[in-house]
Amino acid sequence: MAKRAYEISIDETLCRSCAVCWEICAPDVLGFQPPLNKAIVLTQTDCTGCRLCEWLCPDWAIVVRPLASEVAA
Amino acid sequence: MSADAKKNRPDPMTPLDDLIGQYADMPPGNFRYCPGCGLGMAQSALMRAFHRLDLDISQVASAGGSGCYAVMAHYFKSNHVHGSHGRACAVATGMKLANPELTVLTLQGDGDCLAIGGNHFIHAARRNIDITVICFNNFGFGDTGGQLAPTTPKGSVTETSPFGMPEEAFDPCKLAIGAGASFVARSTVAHPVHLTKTLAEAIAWKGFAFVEVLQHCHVLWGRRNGMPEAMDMLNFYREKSAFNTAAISEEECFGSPIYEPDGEQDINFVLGVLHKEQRPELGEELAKLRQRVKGDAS
Repeated sequence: MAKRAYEISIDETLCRSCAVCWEICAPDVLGFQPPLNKAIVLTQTDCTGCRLCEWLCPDWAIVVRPLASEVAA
Repeated sequence: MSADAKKNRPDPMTPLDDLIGQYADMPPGNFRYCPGCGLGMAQSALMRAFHRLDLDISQVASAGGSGCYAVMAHYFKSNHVHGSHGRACAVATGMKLANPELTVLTLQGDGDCLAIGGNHFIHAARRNIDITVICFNNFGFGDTGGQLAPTTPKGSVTETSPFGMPEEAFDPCKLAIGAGASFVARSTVAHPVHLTKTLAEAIAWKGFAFVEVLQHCHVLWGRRNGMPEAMDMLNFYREKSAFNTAAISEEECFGSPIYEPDGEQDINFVLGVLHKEQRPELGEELAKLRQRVKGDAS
């Protein structure tokens, strides 16, 4: 069975660098970008789709979606 | 839940922006909470609970008072009455009796619900009016600078207890049960799926439902107690919480939280539904009374 892929989009204007998402991400998909330390996506292919980042982001800046092509497959 | 009901339930994995379009009314710019505040997380869970129950947001009415949480209702499309400090339960009781079709919530902080509004809270619980009281417990008065509240754990440092809180704290769930609430549950923002399910169950409950949401304030409480980052406080909740299962005795479910940085106490908070009891609901009782009195008269 093919691994499902996810698309993570981060709204930089909403992110306020609280660091919850990249600390809670087990496969280290998320990281931070100096100097403002806003969250960025490092390795999207490693995302397991647990959505903890989306559920815990206090600023509602992260949205995780299954990739459409993978859903159809 | 039956298999059919599970099948027809809204998808719990609906992406956040779809939910925002349906339930939230976002102003331009950021939330007014501090960066990393648990209120944003709790608000996300509340929106998912609405989605889980497939509620019509125009039929949801909430009441609130003063505190950090007070702006929360303004981010939803639901109806909201911003009452005076601590009186949310009284406002909600009025709303529910005036229009029983509404789903009525109160969004309250711990200082608002248990300190200033303690009297309104216990009497709403006693009457068993069909409202849901959601108490965001951040261990202090956050909006005014982190002063001690009746929920501040004993031993913890706040603005007005620099050498440690000398008093015992309230256990809000125990208080609610003692006052007669028919549904009492506790959850934390560090357990978002559990929080969503608990909120949904409480909103669907017929009668007075009380949910204590442990929501961190790392800026005013955490910073003074060795947990300056949001993630430190989430880890604190994860380490110090246990789910209410058969292995946990009833005595262990309740108790004042005590803050001991190097203490031996592993569990401070037992999460889950702690109390459920079917009791006559005030709105229905009043309807019966009205029928009896008017029936006798005619």
